Amino acid sequence: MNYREIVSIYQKKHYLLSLMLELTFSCQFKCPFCYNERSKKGKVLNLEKYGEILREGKELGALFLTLTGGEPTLNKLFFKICKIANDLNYSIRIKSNGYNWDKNFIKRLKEEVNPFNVDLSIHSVRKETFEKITGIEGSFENFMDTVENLIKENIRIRFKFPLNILNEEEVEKIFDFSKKLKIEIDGFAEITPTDDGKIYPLNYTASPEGIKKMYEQIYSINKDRDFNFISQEEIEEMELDEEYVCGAGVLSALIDPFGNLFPCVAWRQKLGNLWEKGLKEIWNSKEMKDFLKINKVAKERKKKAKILKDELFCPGTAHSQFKNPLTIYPECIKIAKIKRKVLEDKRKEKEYERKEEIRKTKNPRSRKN
Amino acid sequence: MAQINLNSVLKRNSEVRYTKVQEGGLAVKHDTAEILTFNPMAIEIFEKLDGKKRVKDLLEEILKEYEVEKEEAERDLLEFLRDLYDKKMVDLL
Repeated sequence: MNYREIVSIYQKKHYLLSLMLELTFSCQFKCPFCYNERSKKGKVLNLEKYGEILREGKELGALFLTLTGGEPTLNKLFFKICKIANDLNYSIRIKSNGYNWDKNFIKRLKEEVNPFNVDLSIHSVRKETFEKITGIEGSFENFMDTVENLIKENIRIRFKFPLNILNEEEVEKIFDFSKKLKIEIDGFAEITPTDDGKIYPLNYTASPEGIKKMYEQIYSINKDRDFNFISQEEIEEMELDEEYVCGAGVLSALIDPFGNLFPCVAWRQKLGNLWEKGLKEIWNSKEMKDFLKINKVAKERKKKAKILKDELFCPGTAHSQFKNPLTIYPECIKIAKIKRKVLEDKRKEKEYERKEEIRKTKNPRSRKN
Repeated sequence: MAQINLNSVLKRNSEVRYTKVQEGGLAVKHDTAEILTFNPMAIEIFEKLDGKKRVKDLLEEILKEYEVEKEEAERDLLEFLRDLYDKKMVDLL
């Protein structure tokens, strides 16, 4: 049995492969385009409840656990939750801003958590831009120290690069920095509305030129990629067959700090609350089955928009922006068109190089010119 | 070839995380980012590699649980464990 086959079994049997916990909505940074709506209120999950969730997640088949936020390490239970997860054999990934992670913290992270990787948000490689985005003086030096110390402790890093109007002039420098350190970088151009549907973050969407620059960098990295890195998004999105638009609710689930369960971080359609029901009960509920039908219909809807073939259409964004997960929203069409143009240019470039090579082979003298 | 025999004691490598379902198992090795899949019997055996049991104890358990010839089971078990060892999924104690 290979990996694809087992993922296919997970999908058919509706096993849970990947669980994501938003441990808090708090964050030290004040990024103006952040989707995280901090004013939400509710009864915060305690350690006992996290234990129950993780045990039930394991019974449902989960291997991957992503701890996110806000800034997940601000949750005082962070290391205790990690301990339970490690004892249950979860593969932990942490999505963080890495702020105030001193050497001792990182050492502890390695010894007690040993995460599969840390996803670090990289906003810029220029102090002015970085701190303009985060709103925190000194956060740039702090970020650089964190990167250095994670490398020293041999903790795998992946940069998450939220492209926006404030850093789009620095795309090349950011990608160069990541290449120099041999750190995988995952850029994304789509800025989403806040969790509760406010659309002000969209004002920070990068220009078409900025988006083009980023995808040129991404495609050039992928051309000579030598990383042996499993991206959780790849696991959740690429291994699915034609049935579903994405892995949300199919292979993965998100739980917020108050125990609300959603299909994913972007698709915030509440399917139950962990204070009221167990994870297994929610995962196998009628609400979940109804949700899966929507995920399937979204796939059909995407297929009809030919420009979106092999491109991202996030029903979660559609859900938060238009209150309808089936709406093909303009932003995904715009990004898909830009990506297609970049790919087309790359193809032409390759074709030209190939023809030049043939010409030079036929006429070796021209090599001297 | 790893020197694994019936008296060996093996333990899952601390870099490995795994899960199991009815149809088999899935493991990821953190240091190398490799993913491995297991059939149902293999994941059951892998889960038992806790650094306490000898290979011959595992063999006894297999013979009790499954209808297999002892020689065949022993050969397959040792081959499986050697493969795990070569992939650094287990440590030899």
